[in-house]
Amino acid sequence: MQSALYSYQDSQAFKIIFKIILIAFVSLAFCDTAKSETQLTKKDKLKAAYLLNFTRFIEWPNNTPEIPPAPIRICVEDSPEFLLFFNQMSANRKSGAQQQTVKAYLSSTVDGCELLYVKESNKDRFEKIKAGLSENTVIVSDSDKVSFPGTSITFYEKNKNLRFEIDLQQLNAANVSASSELLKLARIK
Amino acid sequence: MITSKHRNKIGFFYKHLIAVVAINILPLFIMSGFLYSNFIADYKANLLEAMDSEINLLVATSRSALLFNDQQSAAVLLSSLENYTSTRYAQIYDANMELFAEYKRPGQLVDMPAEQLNTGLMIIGQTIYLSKVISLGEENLGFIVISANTKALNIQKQRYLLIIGVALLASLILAYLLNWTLQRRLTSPISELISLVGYVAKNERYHKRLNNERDDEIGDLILGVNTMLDTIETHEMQLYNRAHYDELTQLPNRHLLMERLSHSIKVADRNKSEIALLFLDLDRFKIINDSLGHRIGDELLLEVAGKLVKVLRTSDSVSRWGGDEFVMLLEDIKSTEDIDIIVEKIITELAKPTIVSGHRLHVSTSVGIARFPQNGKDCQSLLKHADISMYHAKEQGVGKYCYFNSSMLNKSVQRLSMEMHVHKAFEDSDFFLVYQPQVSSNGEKLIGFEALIRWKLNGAFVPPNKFLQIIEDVGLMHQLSLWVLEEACTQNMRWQQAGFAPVKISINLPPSFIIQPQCLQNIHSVLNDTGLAPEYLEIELTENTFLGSRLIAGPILQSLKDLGISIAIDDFGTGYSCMSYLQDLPIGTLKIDGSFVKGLGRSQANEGIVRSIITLGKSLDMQIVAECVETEKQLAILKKMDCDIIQGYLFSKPLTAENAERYLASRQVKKGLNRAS
Repeated sequence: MQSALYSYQDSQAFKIIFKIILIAFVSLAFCDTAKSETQLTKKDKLKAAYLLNFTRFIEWPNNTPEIPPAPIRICVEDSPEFLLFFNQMSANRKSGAQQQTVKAYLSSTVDGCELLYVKESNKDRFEKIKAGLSENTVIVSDSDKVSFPGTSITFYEKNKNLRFEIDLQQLNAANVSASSELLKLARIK
Repeated sequence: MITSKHRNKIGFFYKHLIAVVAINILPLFIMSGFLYSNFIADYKANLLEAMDSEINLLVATSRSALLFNDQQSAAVLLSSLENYTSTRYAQIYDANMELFAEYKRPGQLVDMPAEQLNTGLMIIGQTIYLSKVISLGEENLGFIVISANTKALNIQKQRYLLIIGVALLASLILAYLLNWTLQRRLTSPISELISLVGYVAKNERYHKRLNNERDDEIGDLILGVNTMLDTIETHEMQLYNRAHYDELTQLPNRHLLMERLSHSIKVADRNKSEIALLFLDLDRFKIINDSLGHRIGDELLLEVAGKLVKVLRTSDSVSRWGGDEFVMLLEDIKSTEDIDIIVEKIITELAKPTIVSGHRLHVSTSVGIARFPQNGKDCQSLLKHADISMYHAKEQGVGKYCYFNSSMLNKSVQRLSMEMHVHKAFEDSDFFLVYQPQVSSNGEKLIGFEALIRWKLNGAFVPPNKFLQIIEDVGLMHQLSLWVLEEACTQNMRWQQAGFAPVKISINLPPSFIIQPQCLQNIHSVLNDTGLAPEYLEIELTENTFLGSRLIAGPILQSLKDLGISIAIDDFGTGYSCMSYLQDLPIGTLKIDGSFVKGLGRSQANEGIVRSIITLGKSLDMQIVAECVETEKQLAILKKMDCDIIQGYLFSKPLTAENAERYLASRQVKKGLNRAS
């Protein structure tokens, strides 16, 4: 009886310690998020959400089927805050018919990705970045003020609302298909 | 509201028609209700399914708009609902319950806050709310709500109701017309039957029948009704005949006579013509009926009825009033001679002998006649006056007729009064006997006495011929005869007990007493009770006793003779009978009627009759008694004719019992012969 009582008390103590640690982690995470959020504009956040949503309406060819399916990789340049925000946002969210997870990476850290988000500031390095991409990579341009070769989706603003343009030719060239739901919202190039 | 009284007034066939139509229509109602419910349910399900499909489509197509915050696109999507006329409004809310996009049909208001909406279907009044969550994977993007009114459903309901109502009304009319036509064809014989029964019930006439060419249950019913009517008609006829015709003679009875008489009086009154009512009563029928039995009496009545019918004219009618009474109605009388001719014809016809079951019967009739309008203006008075005049005819003797006159009414009242006095005298024992001596023609020997009945009313003697008929009519004759028999025998026995030499006592007995079955027993009882020896009793009968009842009277008289009682024929020579009975019956004495005796010495013819009677009696070894002998001359003639016994005032008037006893004493003392013998 006594040993059982002790083991119960030990178990309770362990649970309390675990909870404290969990709370601390969550607090840290929120602190990080808060920190990253503070550095990102609302527009950036919206673009991050759009990028995530693009993955839900675009299907990439499944050249190497894996079980569980490999995550959809989003490559971004020189923006750790954006990266952090995106990953926090996409955590626990799945996209596509295969219910793939979506994760953002620095383009320099991965070899090939399904979607590349480039900004005007990346113009100089674009050719270098593009060289590391696969043929199925969908290039999303941050703005219509600059033109990146091979860009499939381009953000632009209309009536202070963020909108996007889809270049169907480029999408076809990338051998990906976009859902009609996505297409009906986009300005088609 | 239809009350039970009104319901009962509705005809059976109409009720039946309504019931059949109602039964026909009821399944239609049920089917229509079922179809209506199904139609409405289907329509409602389709409506909801369409709404569901639409909302599902919107859910699927609005996700991207929500994800990309494209309110304009969402609004465009919602505006597609404009084509759905039942849609009131549609809204898309984001995950934060903030209104994202909206479509409102002009004039419609949003009446359901997002907070109050439940996912799924809500129907409040005539409004439908359908909401669904918009999600992508497991992510809740928001929700959409579509509100629609049920106007279309209501319109559809009304349309279905109209269609079903029209169909039901048409079915009802068709069912009614078809059933009405069919029922008319099927029930027309029953309607005819009902009309017939109604006619019979209303008019109480049973002569109508229905044609029956059917071979089914209705045919059986018609046959049954026709048969029933046959039976009723036959019974009606029988009842009518029983009510209006005499069962024995088949002549009209008094009921029908009164109808005819009443009708004849009206016709005669209108035409100023005359009618005569003849009241006939058969003479001596009672004697025949009592002596020969009712069967013979009935047969005789039948014969009489036949004779009466035979003498009638076509315009006249005869009816049996009851018993031996008949009434004849003679119409369109021109003069009294017409009546005389018919009445005399009747009397002559009835006076002819009638052979009934081997009996040769002689009846006659007395006829009373009353005429319209002289003797009465109505049935009752005419009948009453004819009846009264018939009694007057009877008083005149048999086979007479008499016309009514108003003085008869007084006599009738007097007769009624006399009947009452007779009853009272009988109760008070006011009748008494007197005794008239019968003496041998040489005057030397007292043979006996004839007992004669007397009655004093208010101190005055009433002649026997005035009250005896009344006593007969009121039915007291038998009792009176028995009393006379007892009284006379008792008195004779009293004289014998007083020491006088026995003499005969003669008693008059009516035919009705002689022919009655207890005659012998009654006489025997009286003799036993009084102790009188039969040889001292003599019974006097009139010739009428043998006219209709010779076969019955014969054995009775023979028995009386065997008993030792003497039989005498009273008033001999006045009757109409055949004299052969003098030879056949045990008659010991003939009493010559006083009318012949009174005529002695006045006419040779009268003396011849008396002599013939005496010769006849003597030849038959009978004693001869002469009545009403009042003079020595009459006595001398009678003695010369060898008459045996004399009775009359010459020797003595009728005496009271005391005087008779004194007379008896004087005769026996004076002569001393009777006592010695």
